[in-house]
Amino acid sequence: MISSAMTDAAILVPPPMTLPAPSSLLIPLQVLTFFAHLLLVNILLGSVLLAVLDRRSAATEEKNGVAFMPKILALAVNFGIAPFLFLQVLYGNYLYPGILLMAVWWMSIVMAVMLAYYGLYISDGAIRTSRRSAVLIPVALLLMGTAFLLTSASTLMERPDQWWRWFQEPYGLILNTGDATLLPRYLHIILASLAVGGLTMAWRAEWSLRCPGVDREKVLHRRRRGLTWFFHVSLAQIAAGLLFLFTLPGEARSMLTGGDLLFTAALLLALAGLAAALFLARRERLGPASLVTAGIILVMVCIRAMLREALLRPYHASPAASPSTALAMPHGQTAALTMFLICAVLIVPVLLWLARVVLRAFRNSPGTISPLGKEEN
Amino acid sequence: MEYPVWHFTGISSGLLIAVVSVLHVFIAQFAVGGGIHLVWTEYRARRQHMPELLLWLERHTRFFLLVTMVFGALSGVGIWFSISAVNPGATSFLIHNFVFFWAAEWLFFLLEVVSLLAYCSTCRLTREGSMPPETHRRIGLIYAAAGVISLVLINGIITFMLTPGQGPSSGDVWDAFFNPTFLPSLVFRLALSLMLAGMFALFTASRIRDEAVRRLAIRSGAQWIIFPFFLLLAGSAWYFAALPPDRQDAILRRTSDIHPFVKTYGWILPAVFLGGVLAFVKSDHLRRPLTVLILCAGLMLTGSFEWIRETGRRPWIVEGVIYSNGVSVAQAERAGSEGAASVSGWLRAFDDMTGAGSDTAPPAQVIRLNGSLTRGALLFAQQCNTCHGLGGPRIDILPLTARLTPEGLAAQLQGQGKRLEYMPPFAGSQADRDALVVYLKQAEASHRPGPIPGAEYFKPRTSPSAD
Ligand code: HEC
Repeated sequence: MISSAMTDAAILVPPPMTLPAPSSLLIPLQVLTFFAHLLLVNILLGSVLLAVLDRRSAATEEKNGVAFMPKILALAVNFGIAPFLFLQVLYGNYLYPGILLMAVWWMSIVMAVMLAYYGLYISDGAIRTSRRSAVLIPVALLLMGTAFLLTSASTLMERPDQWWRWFQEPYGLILNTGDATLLPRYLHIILASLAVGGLTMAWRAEWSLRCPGVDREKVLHRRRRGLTWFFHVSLAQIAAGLLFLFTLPGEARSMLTGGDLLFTAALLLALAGLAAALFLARRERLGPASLVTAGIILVMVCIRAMLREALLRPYHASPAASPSTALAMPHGQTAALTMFLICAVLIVPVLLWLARVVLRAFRNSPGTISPLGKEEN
Repeated sequence: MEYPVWHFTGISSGLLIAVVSVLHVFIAQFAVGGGIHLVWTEYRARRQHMPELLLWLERHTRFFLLVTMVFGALSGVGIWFSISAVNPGATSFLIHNFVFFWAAEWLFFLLEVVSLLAYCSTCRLTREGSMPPETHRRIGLIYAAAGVISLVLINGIITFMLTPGQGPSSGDVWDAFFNPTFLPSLVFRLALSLMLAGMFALFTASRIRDEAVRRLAIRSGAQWIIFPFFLLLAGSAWYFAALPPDRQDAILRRTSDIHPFVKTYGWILPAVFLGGVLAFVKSDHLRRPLTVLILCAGLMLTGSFEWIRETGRRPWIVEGVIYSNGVSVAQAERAGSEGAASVSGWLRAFDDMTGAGSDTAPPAQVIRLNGSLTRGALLFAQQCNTCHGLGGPRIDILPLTARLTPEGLAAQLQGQGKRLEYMPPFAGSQADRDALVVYLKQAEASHRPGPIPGAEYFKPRTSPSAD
């Protein structure tokens, strides 16, 4: 039944365009940049959520308490661009129809993020610091909404069999609610954000220990509290992960549960990582726990990319699939790629230099907490 | 054609892109010029020992950050989001061919974000002596350089769309990037960027309390409008001269979609210059409202220029390769002989569902069609809606079709793109044209009650094999 709907839906999939570079290069670029984006999003969303849920420990009312948030948002948006770009190259013929079906929602993402961004600056600039959290509540809602819409977009592109709904609803108001994985996936993301938010809370406490004249007792409590958040949320994540696994279409699920060696090994690796991270968090080993968590997220991003390929394979392979369109300007692409890679290498020392001089200036300055802190006028 | 369409026929879908991109370009170019302006003004203020000017600059930097990094960055994402929803065919074409230029631009954007955050958060530290002024200036220089390089990268792609040059024929993406208008456009945009930096400087400077400092800041801001103006004039002329004759004709064409904007551009250009001169001469009396007016003029200048560039490109997204409505030349040819459905899976699916098409079995998914989706509506959305609204803003099609009888309209569709060279050819068969005529005439009737002239004689041929 599913497969017949699939062959039918293959008629809706536009022809792909020839890739300007091998996919063995584009896919890692997509995966790595998406990993960075996701990490930043987790830090931001988790921190904002915890600022609302656990105001005291999030320390948002302290001096510079939310100043890091708009900066992380700026970086998260920036790091969203690259994976979106590579995704369009790799899967544009699936991505665009998905976007189009939810065009109104899609456009509202931009508005939501912009409002959240200004909200963060308003919260940062609030004269009465007790007002900060009140502003953060709408910001949290906007960011949660954004995460939901992006989850919907990235799943709708994988479900051409849902695209028929366009014939009923061509106004760009479709969400991928027909997909059983949508809510478990979303839950997965929100919980991951909360877990990373817990780690962020602990790191902020750790860093503030260096400031002269802090209340060590209080700060250590915040550090512990952050790790506790991480621990409990990650436990809940196991349940959410299982739910997600069991809503996946049968074929994809069986690949992850023994059917495909690579898929299964990756999933087991992530689970082992989770066990290690939970253990480390209990031991209050913040650095190692964070590193392992980043590793888990990277593995998850890889699984996600493999899963997408597996879900879409029947459509590429369908007899109804259109042949790909040739690239209009295939020459000089290698040189362009080289230019990109050279720029990427050259930019790193500049970024490091910037970080160094800013850190040094903050260290020289008496009474400033961190470079992520707010400058006062 | 291969993609579905976001169905909102009232206004033209191109209008959405136009509004988002004009706002974005306005702010993004301010970001480019503003970087240079910040570094230069800081340098001068330090050399001439003007601490009050530095204090204003600190506030201006924060304003700059809030405007460019929040609105500028997100409206940039907004352009991208809207073109991918409104014109996926064309977006896919550009992305695939220029992905590494865009990727490089992303890197410089990252550098812009980091260096601007660094610059802004160390203004006070520099004032208090925790950071050497040279280091602060160097951070500013990195920001300014990253901004200019971003502009260079995006400029190559934008100008390619208007003047593809050798790119499509040689198949080399670098020929496409360094196309005939690459340099004039770069000069033009840099000049405009500097002017915008001056306009925004006037805006914040008008609120400085200290009279002497205010005069200084305003006069300096005004100079940033006055001097680059000449560069802008030269750039405009060079840009126009570098266009091939058919594009020049397109810009001078007197259709309602372009002529008013060319006129606006001609008026607003000297007005902006006069605004700058006025601000300089009357610097003591410059108040916020006038600076807002000057900014509006800057927005109109940017807007009319971008509009002319976009419409002057018609009927192309990329000349000779892909039309404004996202239909490629090859698709249009194939559709002309085999029907629109031959190049559109969505149309094929529609035909299957309604039984209008071939003998293939109906899809397994049975769906109740949306009432407003007819074959003609689909064709209109796919091929006309990027330029034409239907009973709404931007080249409303209804008054245009009202002048024509159904046969006249069918004939105009058949010849579309030949006589009226600003429109792409209609990509479809006789049956497709008939379906579109029926749709447009019905839409006309429902918007303007009364009999449709000539309708009673019009007998659309519905068999798709009629061609
Ligand atoms: C590239 C943009 C573009 C596209 C796509 C486009 N048009 Fe036009 N069309 C124009 C412009 C510009 C005019 C001139 C408006 C004016 O005269 O003010 C025009 C004029 C017309 C006219 C009036 C012609 C006359 O005799 O004066 C008709 C009818 C028309 N369009 C129908 C269509 C139909 C039907 C489609 C889709 C198949 C279509 N157009 C697609 C840009 C476009």
